Amino acid sequence: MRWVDRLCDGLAIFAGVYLVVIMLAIVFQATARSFGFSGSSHIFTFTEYGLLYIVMAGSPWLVRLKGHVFIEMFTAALPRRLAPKFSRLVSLLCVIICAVLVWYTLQATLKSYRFGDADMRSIDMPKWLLLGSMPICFLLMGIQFTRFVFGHDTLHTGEAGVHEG
Amino acid sequence: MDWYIALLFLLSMVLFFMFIGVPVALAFLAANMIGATYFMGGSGDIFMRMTRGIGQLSANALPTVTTFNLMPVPMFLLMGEIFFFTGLATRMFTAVDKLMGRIPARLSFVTVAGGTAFATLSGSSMGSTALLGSLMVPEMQKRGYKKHMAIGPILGTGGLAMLVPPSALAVLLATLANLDVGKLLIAGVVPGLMLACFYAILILIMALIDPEAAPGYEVDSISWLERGKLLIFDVFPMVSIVIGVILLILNGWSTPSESAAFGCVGVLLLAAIYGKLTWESFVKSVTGALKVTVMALLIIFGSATFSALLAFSGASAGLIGWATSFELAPIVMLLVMFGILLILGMFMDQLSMMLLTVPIFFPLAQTLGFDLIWFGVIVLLALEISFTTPPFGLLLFVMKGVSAPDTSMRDIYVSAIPFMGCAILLVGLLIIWPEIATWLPSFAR
Repeated sequence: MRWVDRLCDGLAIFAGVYLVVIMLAIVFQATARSFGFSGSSHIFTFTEYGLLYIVMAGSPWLVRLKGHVFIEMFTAALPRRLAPKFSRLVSLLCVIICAVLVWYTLQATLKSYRFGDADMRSIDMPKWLLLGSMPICFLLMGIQFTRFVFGHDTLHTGEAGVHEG
Repeated sequence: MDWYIALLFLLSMVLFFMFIGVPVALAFLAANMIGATYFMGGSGDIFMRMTRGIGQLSANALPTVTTFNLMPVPMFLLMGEIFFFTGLATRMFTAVDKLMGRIPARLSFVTVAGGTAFATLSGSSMGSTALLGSLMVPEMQKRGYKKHMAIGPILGTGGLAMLVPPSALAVLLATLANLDVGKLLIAGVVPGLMLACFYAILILIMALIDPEAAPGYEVDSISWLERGKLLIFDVFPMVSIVIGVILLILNGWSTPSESAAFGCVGVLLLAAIYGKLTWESFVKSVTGALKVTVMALLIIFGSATFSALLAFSGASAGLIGWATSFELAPIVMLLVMFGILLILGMFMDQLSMMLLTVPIFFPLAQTLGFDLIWFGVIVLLALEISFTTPPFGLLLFVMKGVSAPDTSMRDIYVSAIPFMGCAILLVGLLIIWPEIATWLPSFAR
């Protein structure tokens, strides 16, 4: 698991850096415009695509931190003996959801690569470069969820409420 | 499939996955995968249908997430986190505390005044409640304040973060409902300030009815010169950033996304000027903003197809046709929608509530002839109230975490109720005078 964790951490650092660069890029673009320069329309495209890459790069890391919001009602109401087992089942369901997503988003990526689809904004971005982030993200998310299926820790705490990391 | 069966099918799938504890983003994704396979998969075997349906889901998610309209979300979050982790928040709060002087229920007022400013700047209800709770509760206990005078104002002002700009949740709502982001942000200013005033009046009334609830105590008096210094150096610079962001949007000088980015740079510069900007605080701020951004945008990603499915299956049109067939007064329909939001708020987080209801409520509101910006403010208020509705309101649990060990959940529930009443009163006033919300955005260029 260690190399997966490192990979996820690396992707999260990439997402964090991208976030800061977006902030600077927007300020640069707006300042350039107010001084009468047109700036670059690619900056908008760069920031817009950045949102997708940030989500896809940061999500697996956030699974490990239990940062994806979830609601504990049923798991909190279960008897203490049963709750961890049920929590592992829910995590297994998450692994399955991720696995299905990996397969079908990979199909969508390959299809758009074969057909040469492009997302047309200020540049014609090959769509597979965007869609391709999805199977990678869901694969890593699925691997991270397996730690809550087989590891010591469970996803749910047993305390009722809305949990946000 | 009849529209009501389609609606029940789609809603119950999401709710089922959420109920058993699947993270909200995956709950939406799972429900949408099944829904897209059924409604959008066309003909053929199950694998063919899944390929088409889920392919459609990923295609829908792309434009939903990669829109410049969503950019204020990470920017506002980053701005709030920098404000929080560099210690600027505490600095401003301490200044407000000193400026307040000797008045009845002083610490409760400090909470409302400082909390409103902080909630506004941070844009994070949870962060705001946690900070206010950890700063104010021990001091209030030391001064003999009763629990409801300590907890209530904190819960109330914490919720203001989502109404007063910069509010990340308002940006999300505007994006999901296809509203003008800038106008919705601006529309929250007057109602937000009114609500803060209502809280102050409520505290005064509570202190007059039961003076023992908030005993008076001697405070060190400070000179007018010192007051002026505090205002100029510790309050004005922070508040001017928020006012600057609002003015940039209001005058059309820059888009909400650009204004938000300028706000971030402004707080960074301010922290640097005060010598508070360290590498550690910067990394913590980016990490905090990243966590919430990723969490929120993955839910948006997961739910991208949900509104399309509701429309495609005929559920949206069917429900609107059914709801309007009763020929109920629009106000009754509004109250029904408001009630549904409050009930959902008892069990759900704000973003899930928005994603489930926006595709249904906003088309309905449009059919009923409501001003959608005004309706957006009402929805934000409902979301704010639901933050403190028992049993699962998020702020209630944050408050429990920072309260004294002998504080029960019942204490927290009881403390929250009068402040929820203020928000409901504001909803009433908004219904009678919609201009409270629509007046300021009418100046937006």
